[in-house]
Amino acid sequence: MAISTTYDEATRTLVLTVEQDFTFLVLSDFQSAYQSAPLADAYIVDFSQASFIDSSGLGMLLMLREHAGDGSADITLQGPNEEILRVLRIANFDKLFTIRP
Amino acid sequence: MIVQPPRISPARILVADDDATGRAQLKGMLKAEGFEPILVQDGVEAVDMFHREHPDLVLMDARMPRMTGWDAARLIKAQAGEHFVPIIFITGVEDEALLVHCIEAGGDDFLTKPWSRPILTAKITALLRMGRLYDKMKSQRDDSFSTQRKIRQEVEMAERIAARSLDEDTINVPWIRHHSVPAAIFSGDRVLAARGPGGRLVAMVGDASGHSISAAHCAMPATELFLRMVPQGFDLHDVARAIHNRLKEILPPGIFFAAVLLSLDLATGQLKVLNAGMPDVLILRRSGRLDHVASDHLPLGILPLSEFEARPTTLTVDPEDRIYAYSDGVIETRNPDGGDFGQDRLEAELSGAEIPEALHAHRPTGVLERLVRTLRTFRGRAEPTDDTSIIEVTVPPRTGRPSPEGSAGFRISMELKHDTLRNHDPIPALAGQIVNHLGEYQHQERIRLILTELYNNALEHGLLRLEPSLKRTPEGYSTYYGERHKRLAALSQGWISIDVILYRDREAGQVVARVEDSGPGFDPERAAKITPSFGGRGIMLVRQFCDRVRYLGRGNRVEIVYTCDDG
Repeated sequence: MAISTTYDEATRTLVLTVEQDFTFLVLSDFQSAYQSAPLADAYIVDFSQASFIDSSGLGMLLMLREHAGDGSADITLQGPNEEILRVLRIANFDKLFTIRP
Repeated sequence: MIVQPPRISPARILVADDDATGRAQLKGMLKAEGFEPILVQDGVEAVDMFHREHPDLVLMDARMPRMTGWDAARLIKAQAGEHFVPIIFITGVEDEALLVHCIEAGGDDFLTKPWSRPILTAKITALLRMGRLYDKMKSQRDDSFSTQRKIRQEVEMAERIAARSLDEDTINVPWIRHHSVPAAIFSGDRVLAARGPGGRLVAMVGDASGHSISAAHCAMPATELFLRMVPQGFDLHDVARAIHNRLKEILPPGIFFAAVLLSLDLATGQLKVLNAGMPDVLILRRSGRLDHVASDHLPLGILPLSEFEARPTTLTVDPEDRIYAYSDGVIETRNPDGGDFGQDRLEAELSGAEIPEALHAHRPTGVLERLVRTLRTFRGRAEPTDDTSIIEVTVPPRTGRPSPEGSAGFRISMELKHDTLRNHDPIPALAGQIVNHLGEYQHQERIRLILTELYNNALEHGLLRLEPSLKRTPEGYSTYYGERHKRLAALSQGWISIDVILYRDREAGQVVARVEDSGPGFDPERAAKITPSFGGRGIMLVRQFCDRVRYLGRGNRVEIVYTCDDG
């Protein structure tokens, strides 16, 4: 699996850890990771092990956002490296997500 | 599992005897000794049977009707060729005088009648053993021949690769020509030329001390460094220093590399020459004057690292001037009487050359060809004693200071056909190659991103005809990539070509990339009006990162310029 998940009952937080390049190649892994988990109040996408994202990966983050109620649940993009951070900022994702480098 | 011992098949022995009693006796004896007899009655049958049955040994009566044993033996030996088939003649006592005949006919041994069973058995066994030994030696010899041949082929291949003299992808112009004659398969001479960024031509003629393998060994790292560094924008003093340092590291004392490095700025006509232990570089001016740049450096690989300093001579050349750099093999070309061609003859030959009126795009008429002809005539039947190399650079019209995109940089081109596209994404490796060449490693992910977006657009829209509007809903987004997978697996036509040119002339490397697909193209104006929902961000990212993005053709070709500055 390219995406691993942990769910914290207490905080109702789902952590999705990206373990390789974040592109459409991991789309179905990513989707099933959050669809099969209980609906959470907060989501954390952990990018600390990823080194690459492209526009198809950005689209996947937007899908998660819609799944999470389009802004009603907090989504944190955590630990992106400098390159991924640059892409997220250029795409104005800092307005849609909480980015924690 | 039951393991069977290997079955040794009995030796098969052809018996040719016209006498039925003799045949029967031999047959009985051979069978009793564990051999397998094949019986014939005369020479004709013997030859025929030999051809059909390939026996291991032949027992041959000398006197037989239709064809004698001697004639049959000759034919059999001829047929067997290199394969050793022992022939034992069985003769009557009265034939002893004819024994010589038996040996001459190819017989390996003989036995007089009446034969004794132990002796005949011993002779058969001995000859069979000899036959096996012979076959073994032969196959070892063949192996060793084929090994030798293989080594030789590999050596020649390695040599061709290493000696890849002019980087033909980069230099494909009629105004640089060269000529090389190695004294052995391996040459210690190197003639190299490559384009540096910013309209610079860099060439090198090198001559490793000694010749053949050791010299070629010494020339190889020099070749590699040259071909790697020049396209990256290093100028000749950097290249010379790098070669010197490398050779100093790996070469034993006493081995060195004499070299001329030339760097010609095609925009300004500025020529830099670094002559390290080579004969004078000659510059034949359009006026007919001959200028010299003599060696003022020791050959590379001699001085301690701290003492080596590259100080190129700078001069200006004009269009149609010709620059000659060559190894000493040229002036030391020897005629059969032992006389050297010499510097004077070379200079006379060059300055006597008529300079063609105009150069244009034609093949320059033959100063080099004539020199080569003269050298060949001079050498006559004498073998070349040293590697001989010469390069001629005819200065082309000045280009003026080139725009970075107008000058040739390092180029990587690929055309990917549908069968490659189906199971291979070339972009990560390409991005790696690009940053390697530019030395801009921190830009790898950005370059990969840009090329990935362009490539995916070409593939998904141009070839697979996926509808971008699918990406407007999450379900559509999944459908889109599901379809991508399905259509890609079934792709049976189309291509994508990627052409990347790299420049490294200023502080920052620059990438000009063109991606084209065989698809119908699209209208970028219209596409720009579609508001992105889940998709549509690719080209936006590309525009943000690049200095310029242009759609060309019918919208099936895109060109970007990216500069590796930090921001």
